[in-house]
Amino acid sequence: MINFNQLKRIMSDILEVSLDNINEDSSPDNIEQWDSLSHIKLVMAIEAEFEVKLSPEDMTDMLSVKLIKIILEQKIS
Amino acid sequence: MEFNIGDEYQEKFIISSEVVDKFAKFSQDYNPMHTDSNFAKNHGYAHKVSHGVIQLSYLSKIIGMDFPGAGAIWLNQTVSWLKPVFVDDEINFVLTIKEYSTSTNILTLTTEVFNQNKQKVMIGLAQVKMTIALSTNPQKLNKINAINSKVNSLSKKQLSNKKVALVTGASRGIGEEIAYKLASENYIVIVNYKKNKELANKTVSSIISLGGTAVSICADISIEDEVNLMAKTILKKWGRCDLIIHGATPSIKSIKAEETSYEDISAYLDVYLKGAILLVNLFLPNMKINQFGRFVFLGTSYLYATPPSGMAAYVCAKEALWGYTKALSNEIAHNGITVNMVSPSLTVTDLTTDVPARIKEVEAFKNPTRRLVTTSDIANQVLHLCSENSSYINGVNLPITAKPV
Repeated sequence: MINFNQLKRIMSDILEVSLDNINEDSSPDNIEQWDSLSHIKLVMAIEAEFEVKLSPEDMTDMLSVKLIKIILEQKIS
Repeated sequence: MEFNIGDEYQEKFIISSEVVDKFAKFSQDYNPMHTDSNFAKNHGYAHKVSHGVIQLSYLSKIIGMDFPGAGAIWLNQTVSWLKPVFVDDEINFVLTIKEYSTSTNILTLTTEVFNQNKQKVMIGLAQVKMTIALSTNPQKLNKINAINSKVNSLSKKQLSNKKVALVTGASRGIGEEIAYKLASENYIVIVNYKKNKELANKTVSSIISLGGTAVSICADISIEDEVNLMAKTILKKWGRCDLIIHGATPSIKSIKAEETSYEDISAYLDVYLKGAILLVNLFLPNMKINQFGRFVFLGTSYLYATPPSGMAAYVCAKEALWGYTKALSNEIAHNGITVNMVSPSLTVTDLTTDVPARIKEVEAFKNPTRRLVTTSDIANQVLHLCSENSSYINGVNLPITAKPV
């Protein structure tokens, strides 16, 4: 299991939104700042903080917080 | 319609005083010759004289409704009134075809009117154009004997007023949902299954508990004898089968295209294509008698684009079924029978349990609706295709994808 609070904190820092505004359903659909540039920053921060290597496919599949969780759990397990 | 020179039509009317009064009111022609018997007598007539145009009104009715009838356009009429027609006279119209131009479809009719004493009271000549109905209405064949003689005797008697729907692979997933939807719309539903009797019976009892009618019939759709027996059972019990929804499928295995054998493909082909062909061969004659039928085959959104890896056998067989759908739809729709395919994208059912959550979630998120298609989305469209209102939707592979294909 990944630390969801850790993920939320990274997202909050990168996307400049409050922690309360991040949940499983968060995505570029509802977070305006989550654009292509911040997505790259986000992926790099996740790689560093969780110490995982993500593939280009992983990056394009990270379409929501729920999907980021699924992908990270696959990597960590 | 066929017209022959010399064909004749006769009809009698009584010119009542009520008719004459109504005509006077309508036309504002209150000439006392028509309305006042004393006035008529003073002018040498024993009774009130009816308006001559009343006879033309009845002629209009005959031409427009009886001879030649609906579709007739009255082009020309000559008329001479030879004798007066009195109130309460019974007059007899005699119309005879004098000429018929097949190129223009114009009829020339002699129009004669006699009173009860067989005296000619009116003569004339009518020209009438018969318009031809354009092919916008569903064609119904009048002559059932035009239908091929292969029709088995069982299917000739309709034992049910309700429409009967056969859903293959209806014990679970998409087929099960379609069975529920059809039952809720008052169709008698045959829940076909291959192995899982318990699940099929569960579907049936749920339908019955909701007030619907359903039975389960076990048959492997890829085996001719079993499908044959199922068809006989259905036609014997209800005398009809109006809707065939073919959703049965073997379990789906992922095999790389280069490693796929012909046997891998035929495992799917036998169910999808051979099954469809058997169902059509067995039920089409009955549908032709009823001049109504709906075939809906389950396809896949993989038909619209490059399929995912490992799906060669599955996609080949669905593609073959789509080819059959197009060919069949082109040949039988004039009987009121349509053939269509519905092609959903990745659907959450037992069949896709093994698909990893990540793939499902990505699929959902890449969709404009941000969700996966549900069995209910599919069943609703099948229901729509099955309705009488969908008679002009034929040979279509309907994408249930929530995005352009």
